[in-house]
Amino acid sequence: MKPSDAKDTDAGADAAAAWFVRVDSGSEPAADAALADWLAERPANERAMQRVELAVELGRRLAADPAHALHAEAARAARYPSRRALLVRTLGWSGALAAGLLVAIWMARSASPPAATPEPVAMRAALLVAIDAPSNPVVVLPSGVVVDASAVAVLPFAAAGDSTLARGLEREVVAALRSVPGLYVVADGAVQAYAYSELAPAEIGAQLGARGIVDAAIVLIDGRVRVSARLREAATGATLWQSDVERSIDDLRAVRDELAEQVAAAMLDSSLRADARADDAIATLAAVSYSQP
Amino acid sequence: MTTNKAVAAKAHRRMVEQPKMPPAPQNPQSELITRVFVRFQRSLLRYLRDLLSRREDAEDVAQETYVRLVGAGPLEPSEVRVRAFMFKVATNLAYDRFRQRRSRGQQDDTELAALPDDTPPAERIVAIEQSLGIVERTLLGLPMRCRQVFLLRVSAELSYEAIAERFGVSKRTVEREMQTALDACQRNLKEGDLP
Repeated sequence: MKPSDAKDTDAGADAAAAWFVRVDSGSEPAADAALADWLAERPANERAMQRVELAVELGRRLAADPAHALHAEAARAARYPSRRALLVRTLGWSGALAAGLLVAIWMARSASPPAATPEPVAMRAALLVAIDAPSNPVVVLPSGVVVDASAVAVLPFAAAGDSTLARGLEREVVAALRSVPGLYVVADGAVQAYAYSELAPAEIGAQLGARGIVDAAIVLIDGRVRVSARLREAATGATLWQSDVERSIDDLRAVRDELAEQVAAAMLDSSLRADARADDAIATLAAVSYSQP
Repeated sequence: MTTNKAVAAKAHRRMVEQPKMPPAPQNPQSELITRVFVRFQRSLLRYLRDLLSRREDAEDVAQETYVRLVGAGPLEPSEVRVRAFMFKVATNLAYDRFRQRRSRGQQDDTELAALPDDTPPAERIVAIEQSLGIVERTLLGLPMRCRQVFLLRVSAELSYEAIAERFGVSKRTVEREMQTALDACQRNLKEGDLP
């Protein structure tokens, strides 16, 4: 490669990440010497490598910050093997393939939604482990329905009088929550039927496929807005977080941020605790599923 | 006084003689560190100036990096590894410096713009506060497995083999995911390419 070639700058940038991995993974003992040559070849190579190294260190810093979503994700990923790995470890590759096939046949035959007719435990377990999804932890609700531990349903905000404000705030909180990595938000059309619902959290969670349920009530009095909100856990019905604030109507943005932030924090924090249960749940379901032919 | 003269003469003789004395047996590690430091000094300074945007800060951090390197425990006897370690130490010191500066409430933005720099803009690295945001946004925008591979390697410090086992994939796949994550960050960190 000649330094005079303008395209080379990009070629160098492209190669930096690959060089880093070659040396970092330790698969090639000769990579060190080759990398030294590559770095010396052109200043652009050295610069590209510096950017890779900067990304590694800053990524490490971000993941080390307990308040950051990446910290929670790193911790979760570190303790929780993916469903695919779990399946392969338990059954070997052929078993995993067979389970996948089984599920494919079952899915082709059955068109009914899982919540309407609870399928046998074995099938559910097979479905659970065969989905080659990233390693999201799951939670088993009392009814046996398996839900994603990071799924939170935001029910329509209740309003005394004019509901425009409540709708607006609800939409904003949903949007803010959707921007939080590692959270899956069930809202809008899916939750309309559950406004002012008397159903137990376990029931709502099972029907919406959510582990956390947020509801809120908004009251507007004399230019001040009163917001009562809570996050409940579908599995136990326990209130994970609750807030009752009264603010000037001009401070709605702060209210929104506060709601979204605290719901996200409670979800992500308690999802760490949920991991242990998910581990056990999967192990149990897998054991039941594969010991019964 | 004659005694003073004698002392001065002796000192002079010692200074003149010094180059002729056999070099003190140097520890091979500090020799390696010095060699790497001298070789990459300019590059390190430029890197730190991009990150911190103030020359004094960059020089301080470079100096402290050297002190830390010399004081570090045993390193792998490879120039490439020592160079990588040097940039790692420098980045972390620069980050701490930036945090300190921010907590003292110093405003450096005007100085940033005024600083003369012969580096072409396309080759510059963005200042550390923007870098942090860029790395954050880039990581959050990656597919989940790709991001988790990065986190497991960088934060949990698992080996590539251990990560492969965790995801039930080959080591080669893990290497590819890691490369994708790093390349995405690296591209976005080039000045002028803000996502």
